[in-house]
Formats: sequence, C-alpha cells, structure tokens
Amino acid sequence: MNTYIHKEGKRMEVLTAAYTDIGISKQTNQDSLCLKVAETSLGMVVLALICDGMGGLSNGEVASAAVVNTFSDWFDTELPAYLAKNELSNIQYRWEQLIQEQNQKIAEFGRNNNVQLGTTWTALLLIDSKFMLIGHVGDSRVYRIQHKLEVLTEDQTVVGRDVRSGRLTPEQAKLDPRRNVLLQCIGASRIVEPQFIQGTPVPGEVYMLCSDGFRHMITEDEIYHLFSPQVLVNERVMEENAKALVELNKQRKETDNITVLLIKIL
Amino acid sequence: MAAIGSVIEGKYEILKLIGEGGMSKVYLAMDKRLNKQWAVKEIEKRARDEHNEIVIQSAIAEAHLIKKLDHPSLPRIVDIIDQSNVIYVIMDYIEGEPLDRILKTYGAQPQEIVIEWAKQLSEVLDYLHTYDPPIIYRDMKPANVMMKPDGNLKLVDFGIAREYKQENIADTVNLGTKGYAAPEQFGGKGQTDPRTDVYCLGVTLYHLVTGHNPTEPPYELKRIREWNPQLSGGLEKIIQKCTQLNPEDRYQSCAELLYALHHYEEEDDAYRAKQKSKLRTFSMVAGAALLSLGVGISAQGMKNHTNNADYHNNILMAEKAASDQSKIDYYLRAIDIKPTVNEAYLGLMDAFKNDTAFTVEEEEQFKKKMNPHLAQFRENPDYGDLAFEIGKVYWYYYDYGKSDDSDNSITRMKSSVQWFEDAVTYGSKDRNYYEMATVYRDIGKFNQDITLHIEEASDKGKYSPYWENMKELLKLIENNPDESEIVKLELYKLTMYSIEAYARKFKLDGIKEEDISSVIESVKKSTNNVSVTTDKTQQIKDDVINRFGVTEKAVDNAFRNQ
Repeated sequence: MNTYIHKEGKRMEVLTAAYTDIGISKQTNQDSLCLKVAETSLGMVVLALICDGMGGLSNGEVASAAVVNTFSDWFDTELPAYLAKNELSNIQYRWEQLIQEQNQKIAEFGRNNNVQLGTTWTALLLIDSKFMLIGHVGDSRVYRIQHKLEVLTEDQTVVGRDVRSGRLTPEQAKLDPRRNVLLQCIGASRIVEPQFIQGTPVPGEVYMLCSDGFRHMITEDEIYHLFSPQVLVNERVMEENAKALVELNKQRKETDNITVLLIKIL
Repeated sequence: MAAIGSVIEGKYEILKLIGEGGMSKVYLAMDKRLNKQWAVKEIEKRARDEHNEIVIQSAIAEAHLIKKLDHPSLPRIVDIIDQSNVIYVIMDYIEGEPLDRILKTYGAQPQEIVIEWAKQLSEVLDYLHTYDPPIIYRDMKPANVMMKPDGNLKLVDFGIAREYKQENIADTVNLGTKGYAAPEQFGGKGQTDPRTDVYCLGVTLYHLVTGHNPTEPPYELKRIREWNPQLSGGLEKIIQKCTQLNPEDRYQSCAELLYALHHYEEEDDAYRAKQKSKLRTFSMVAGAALLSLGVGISAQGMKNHTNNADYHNNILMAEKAASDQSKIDYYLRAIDIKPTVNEAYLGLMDAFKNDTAFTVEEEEQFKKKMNPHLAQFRENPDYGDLAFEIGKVYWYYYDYGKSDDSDNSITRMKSSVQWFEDAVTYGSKDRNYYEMATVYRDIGKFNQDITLHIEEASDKGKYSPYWENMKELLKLIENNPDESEIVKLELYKLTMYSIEAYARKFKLDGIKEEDISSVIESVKKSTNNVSVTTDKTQQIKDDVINRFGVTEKAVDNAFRNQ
C-alpha cells in the first residue's frame, strides 16, 4: 500500500477521508492511493487518486505506486504553475502525457523483468468551486453523491463494454466470469485511451473514489445510506463510515483489496 | 539453464535463446549428428506457475501425449530428455514468421489468404479435437501461428507448460494478456471444449482480416465489413458465428467451421443473388422444357390435326414479323390452313390497313382467300365479328378511286355495306358491334342509294332516319375512347359533307336548325380535340376544319331562305 495524505493550510472548505484494506485473502495490497489538499491563491485544491495494480506477487504494487508517485509529484511541482497562470484547461493534456509515459515505462519494466504488470488509474482534481477534472483508466470508479448516487466514470471492462452494447444485462455481468477483465490498463496495453471528464464542483456534494474491491458486495443503497452529504458531517464520521463499509465487504467475502476515498465540499 | 554452446546428450548443441516464457526457455539447437536444427524447450523441474504450483508433472505428461501427434501443421516432438533439474523437449524448429509480427508489419491480410489460413487452422484443430483423447488447444492467436517460407502455417507453442492454471477469480487481469480467449476461459470455472478453439480462431481471423486487434480500442468485435466494406459477407457471418458468447451458438466443431469456410462465398449476398438468377434461368429452361413437352403431347394427341401447329406457327410468325408484307404473307398462309377461322383474317385486315390504305391489290388477295369459303364461313358464329371489322376497313381505308382531287367516300361506304349487312345478318344481337354495324350499314345504304332516290324523286323521308343514324354513330364513336383518329375524322368529315349537301333536305324532313347547329358545334369541338399522328389524318382534319364555314353557311342558307 502506498498512501499519501497531505493537508496544509485552511481545511475549512473540504472534508476528506481515506481507507484501504488488504482484504481477506490477498498477500499484498496492490491498491495505491493519494489524497492531497492545498490552500492556494485560487482557493482549496484537492487531488484524489486510486490505482489498482495487477500482476503476480509484488508487481502490481510496483505499477500502481509508480503512477501514484507520478501524480503526487505533479501536484507538488507542476500544479502551482498551472494555477499561477490560471491554465486549468491545459491540465488534462498534461495528464494524458503523463499516463502515456507511465504506460511505456511500466511496459518496459515488465519486458526487462519478464513479468506482466499493470495498473488502473482514477484521479479527481478539484480546484475550489471553479474546476473539476477526472482522469480514468480501468475499473475503479468516481461517484458523485448529492441527492442521489451517481457513477461518473465508465468501467473499462469486458463486461462493462458488453452491458453498454446490450450483449449482457447488469445482472448477468455480476456473475460473468470475465468481470475482472479490463479492456485496458497502464503498463499492459499497447494503446491507452483514458477517459477524461471536466466539470464544476458544487458545495454540498460528496465525491467518492473506490477500487473495484469496494463495490462488488455492497449495494448502492448501502453506500448512499452511509455516504450521503447529510450523514457525513465531519471527517471522523466519514472515516468511520468508510471503515464500516469496507468491513461489510469483508464480511461478505470480498477477496480483493479494498480502497475508498471521500471528499465533501462545504 | 543451458549455456550457449553446451551440448545436450552429446547431440544437441545449444546455439541461441529464441524464446522465453514464465516457466520455460526455448533454444535453437544444432543436431551434431544429423546436421539439422531443432528447437529445444527447457523446463525447470522446480518451475512454478504464478500461483506457485509445480507444473513439471503435467508438462511431462503433455509432452508424451503430444509426441504421438502427426500432422503437417504441428511441430513434431522428436525427443524428451529428462535430466536431474530440467526437462528438454526437442522439437521441430519452425522457420518463418509468426502471424502477429506479420500483422504488425503489414496490417490486415488479404481475405483469400486469411480464408486459406483459416482452413488450415480449422483442419489442425479438428485433428486435435478428434484425437483420442481429444486435445483442446485453448490458445489460438496470431502469435502462436507461424507462417513458413512456403506460405503454410504451423501451430507453435504447443501445450507444454503453457500457463492456463485456474485463475483466482478476484484477480484483475488485462484483456490484452488474455489475448483471444473465449468467455468460458475466464474465471477458471467454465469447461473448455472444441467450441473454445472455435471462438479463439474466430477472433484470430477477425484480427488477421481487419488488422484490428480486438484487445485494443474500440475493444469490440465489430462486423468485419464495418472496417472494410470490401470484405465478404460470408466471411463476416462465419466470424460472427465463431465469436458468439454462448458456445451453443457457435460452430459446434471445427469440421463444421471448415465446411462453412469451404462454402463462405455461398453466404455472400452477391453470391446469393447470382444463385437466384441461376435459379431463374433454370426455371425458364425448365419452363421451356415443360412447354415443349406440352406441345409435344398435344401434337401427339392431335395426329389428325397436324395443321394446328402450322397454323399457330404462321400466326405467331405473322405477329412477330417486322414488315407488313411479311405479316400479310404469314396470315395468308395461315388462312390457307384454316380458311374459316377469324384470327388470320383479322390479322390480315390489320396488316392491310396499317399503312392507312386498303389497296385494290390487297382486296384481291383477301377476296381470293375469302370468297371460296364465304358460304361455309357464314356458319361460323364468330363470322359476324370479322364481317364488322372488314366493313370498317372498307369504310375507312379502301382506296379504290381515291385521288388527290376526289374523295372516294361514297365508294368506300358502298363497298362496306355488304360487310356490315353480313355482320348484322350472321352476327348476334348481343355482340358489341351489332348496333354499330347496323348504323354503318344504314348510313352506307343511304349514301349508296340516295342519288338514285333523288333521281327518282323518292328521296323524301329518307333524310330523317339518315340524320338520326349519323347522330347515333357520332354518339357511339364518341363513347369509345379507343377509337382511332382516322375513324373519328372520317366520321366528322362525312357529317360535315352530309350537312352541307343535305341541309335543305334535312329541313324538309323536319329536322330543326338548332339540332343541326348543335351537331356542328360538337363535331367542331371533337375535331379540334383529335390529335393526329400521320400526314393522312392531318390532311383529313384540315379538310374537316376547312369545311366548317361552308357547312354553317349551307345551314344558314337552308333555314334563312324560308
């Protein structure tokens, strides 16, 4: 597990929580996460990301950590320049570059070490109430919770594709043996085409990022019940509720690593 | 690990490493005795798969199984060497290039070649599936197929120590690493069978023929003609069927697939269209054959009426003949065969009047045929129809005595009277022509006799019925939209001439001026409405129009004078 939780300056405007668990059967936690909050000239800035690594033994962790580190560094070293020049719309282009670089580097690592490894990547950037950017490869998810629970990202999985094209129903997809097969991931695909979503954050909203291990065994109602903005009144409640749902997953015999991040905009 | 340059069993000299997998390495080796190259696959006995399970036993078992196989598309295993730490499997070194590299370099492959490859691959898979015990290849993909310099294919990376152990269902995997796997190969719980190889082969063909890797964007197997509309619809259907999610929906065996590949063109729309047209041609030939058979049978049945065929033949030839003269010849011949049947006569009359003139020569030809049989013919109930038609031809087309400065209308009418008389006498009252034939006859008779009556001063009272007949005929012709222009114009002309000539007589017979005027008006209108297509009818039309003034004046004079 690689976790960076970094907060500085005023923390009045967002509440955050993060929780990750190795799960009940795996020997390593290949999920990596990063949650950074900074007070800037443009207001509160939040970067949240989850990478779900894959590959034998510790390889998955290598891949997911590499990508998380990259974006953590980007937040520290490059983001201030974008903020200073107020070039928010150029960030997506840079993220795309970073992802393509990482795809090459991880693939090269795999070739050199004769292993196969890769990682998903799901990142959320909030800049005050001015700008929201989501970048996404794989099957982790970003949810927006306000009056309802909304999935913003698209699962880049074989079953997700088949559900979208109508070849499978959502019910069949849950039982399909291919439900863990990704269409693409960073480090193992010749071509990576990330999904990007831009928007504007609205006070009162809760954003949730989670790895796929978090969502298979619990229902949307259960998530909304514990994660709705009315319930998440402070960071302590957020962390407790996150932990409660992770435990619920484990009780229901989820075998994967489980990771969840919460951001509430005040 | 075998060192480069080392010699295994005093025989196989390791030349270089040519491939490496998770649990094995493949070397190129030289057989020192035979001076021949082999591929040597080295499997470490303590090799473990990614779930840390020792694979060596299954690897040895498989090697022993596979060495019995004998198929031109499979590499042979010639030796299995069991050493303390490793096992060496000695097999054919396949020179050539794997299809994935060919795809990378050259892109999509020509359809005909892909079909040929598909046949070879189905064949070798069918060989494996029907082997005892059956062998499922499970890993068909371009990278595992080698194209030899002679263009034929070999399936490589055969079986031994291949990594298809059960997957942990919670493990996330990337589609790219799963290659061309069928749905049932995921999650480790599905049973693989020959239909699994059908699926993988379908995906492989898809990649080969479109150049699009199904594990790269857009991550789906589109219909191949969406990528390239030039591709065969038949091949598209085959690939679609191979790659169904449900094994039940695929070809159930590679033999079935092979059959489809041999007949892929038959699935093409173009091919189907061609077949349909072939079927049409066949139907026509068959129809013609049946017709001939029918004709044959009827001919047989009517030995005593062999003339039938000849008669019809002549009629047929006449109908098809291009020139009026040859039509006439055929009809005359037909009449010779059956001198008392309408058909040939009707055709003959038609041909005669086609040039808008029924000449004296033509009349002679006709009479020569008709007259000897006339008595007999009159007993034919259809004779009335023919007589009516002949009467009309005389009435409108007979050109005896016609010259530029003299109209022969009286001659024409006189000549036709006997035919209309015949139509009325021998025809039946319920036939369409009956009424008209009567009117024609009476008008004809009037014109035929009136001069004589005038001379004898016995003409009084004859004009009124003539006038009524004229009106009747005008009405009948007016009501028949199909009536030819010449018939209409001749009638209008006759009407105008009659009014001009007999205006006074009409008046004496008690016919009202308004009656006459209204007929003139309607004839004027009708004349103008007739569209003419020949010089002759144009001539008649002009004549009629020129006559209107004179006619009106005559009526004026006749009625004013009193």
